Amino acid sequence: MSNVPFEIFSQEFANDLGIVDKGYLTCILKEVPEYDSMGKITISLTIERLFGFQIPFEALDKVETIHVLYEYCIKNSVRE
Amino acid sequence: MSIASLRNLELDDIQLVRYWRNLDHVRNRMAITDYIARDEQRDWFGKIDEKLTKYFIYSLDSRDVGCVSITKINYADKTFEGGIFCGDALYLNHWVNIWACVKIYNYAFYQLDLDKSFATILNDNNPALSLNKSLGYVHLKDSDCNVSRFILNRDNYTNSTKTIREYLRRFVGQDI
Repeated sequence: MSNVPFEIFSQEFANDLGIVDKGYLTCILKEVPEYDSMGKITISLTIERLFGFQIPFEALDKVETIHVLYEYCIKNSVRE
Repeated sequence: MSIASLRNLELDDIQLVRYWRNLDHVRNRMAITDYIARDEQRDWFGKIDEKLTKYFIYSLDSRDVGCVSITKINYADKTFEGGIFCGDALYLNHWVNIWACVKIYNYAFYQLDLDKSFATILNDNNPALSLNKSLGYVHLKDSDCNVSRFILNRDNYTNSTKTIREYLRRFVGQDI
């Protein structure tokens, strides 16, 4: 189980996608313009760096919010 | 593994491309937003100079997804313009769009041996702006209030897309 706190994950998420508006924390990810094809590749690499596993693209596509994405990462993390 | 592929645009494909091009999610992100009629599309295809313009359809697992292009090829100056649109809205945020882009830029830079690419993008087309930034494009100063101009050289492209190409390799099972 990873010990990356949500605050760090969400901060890295925003930094890597170049998001300045805090709306991404509460809205559906599909509505975040930066979370597009390229954005998903970027976040996939962010997750690898923080949690040490390769997230399937389908999972990135399906998760509805950043909180659900974080829970997925915690569950699948291979880092202590 | 998924099978992503590119094929040259043929006469049989042009009405599919016209259908995509007229869809709101494509049309509204183009500099020219006029509806394209069947005959206009045929005329456009007939006028393509294959030496200076190359269009490809990209597909994923045999499903046609969109169109990528290299246009305004200038072999003397070694320049070109790259373009893409995802026609099938179900794939709008899919990795295959990035794959198609990388394939077309690889072709332009490494096979056609071109040196520089230019791009003109509407300022509110955030997906294209984000994609171009990831490919290594640099903003040019001769932009106006509606559109921005960008330039990409081969070295910048090679360096900027190293990680992306490694990432895409996972899906298609081979180097791109």
